[in-house]
Amino acid sequence: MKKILSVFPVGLIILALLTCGGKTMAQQQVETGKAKKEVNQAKQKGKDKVKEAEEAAEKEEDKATEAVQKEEEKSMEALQKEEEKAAEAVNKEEEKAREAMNQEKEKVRDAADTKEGKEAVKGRGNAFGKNKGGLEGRDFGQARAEEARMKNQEKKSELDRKVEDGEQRTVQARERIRVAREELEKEKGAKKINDETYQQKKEKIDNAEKAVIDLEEKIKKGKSVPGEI
Amino acid sequence: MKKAIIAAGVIALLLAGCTGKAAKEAEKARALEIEQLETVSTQIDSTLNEIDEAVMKLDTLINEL
Repeated sequence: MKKILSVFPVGLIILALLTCGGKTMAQQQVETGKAKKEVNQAKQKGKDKVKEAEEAAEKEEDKATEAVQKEEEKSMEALQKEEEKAAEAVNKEEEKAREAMNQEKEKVRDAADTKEGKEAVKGRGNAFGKNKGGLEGRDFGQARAEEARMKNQEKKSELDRKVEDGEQRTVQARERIRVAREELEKEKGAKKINDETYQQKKEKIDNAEKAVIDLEEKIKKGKSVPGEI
Repeated sequence: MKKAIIAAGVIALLLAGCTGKAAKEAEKARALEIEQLETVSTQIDSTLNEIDEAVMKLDTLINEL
């Protein structure tokens, strides 16, 4: 009995300790679950934030790209306007110069018609470049050179077009001639035509071939014309 | 002082002379360029006409085939 009495408090203490330990374990488990949930939530939130940040960055990039495009468009428009203005100014100057030259020529002609005029005109020489339409000597020369260059460029472009067109025509013509020659030989082989007709047709084909060669030579000549001086 | 003025005058005259000469040379070069451009234009005109004629002739002969 004494032994039981001495062991009882120890058992009680052990029981109490076990109970407390169980409670603590349960609490710890609950706390661990909560912590896990919190961690998961935090992770989810983190992912959401990253997504938001990425979306925001994409939007920023899009905005920046749009802004850059708009700037480029604006600068292109401004450049085009400047070019148009410059071209207009050059055209106006050229027109002025032309008008002035024409007026001067008319004046010279009118004056030359009269006797007095003839005397007055005598010794003046060529009036070209005397009246420069408000332009100074150097500017007038530059305007004339520019006009000549423009005219030359236009003609060169026209020549290039013609050369290209001519090349296409020669290719088509050569094909047509080849087909015609083949047909002629077939007809001759099948004895559908007599010698006279054959010779006539052959002559026509030969003439067409000569014309193709002639055109090719002209095209070659057109290609050899210098574009710029 | 007098020498300096004379020297300055001479230099000014030389500069003016050189500038005038350069301007004349530039004008000559421009005139030559215009002449060359006009020559090329004439050459292009003639080539264009030749090509047109050759194309017309070829068209006629091809149509006869």
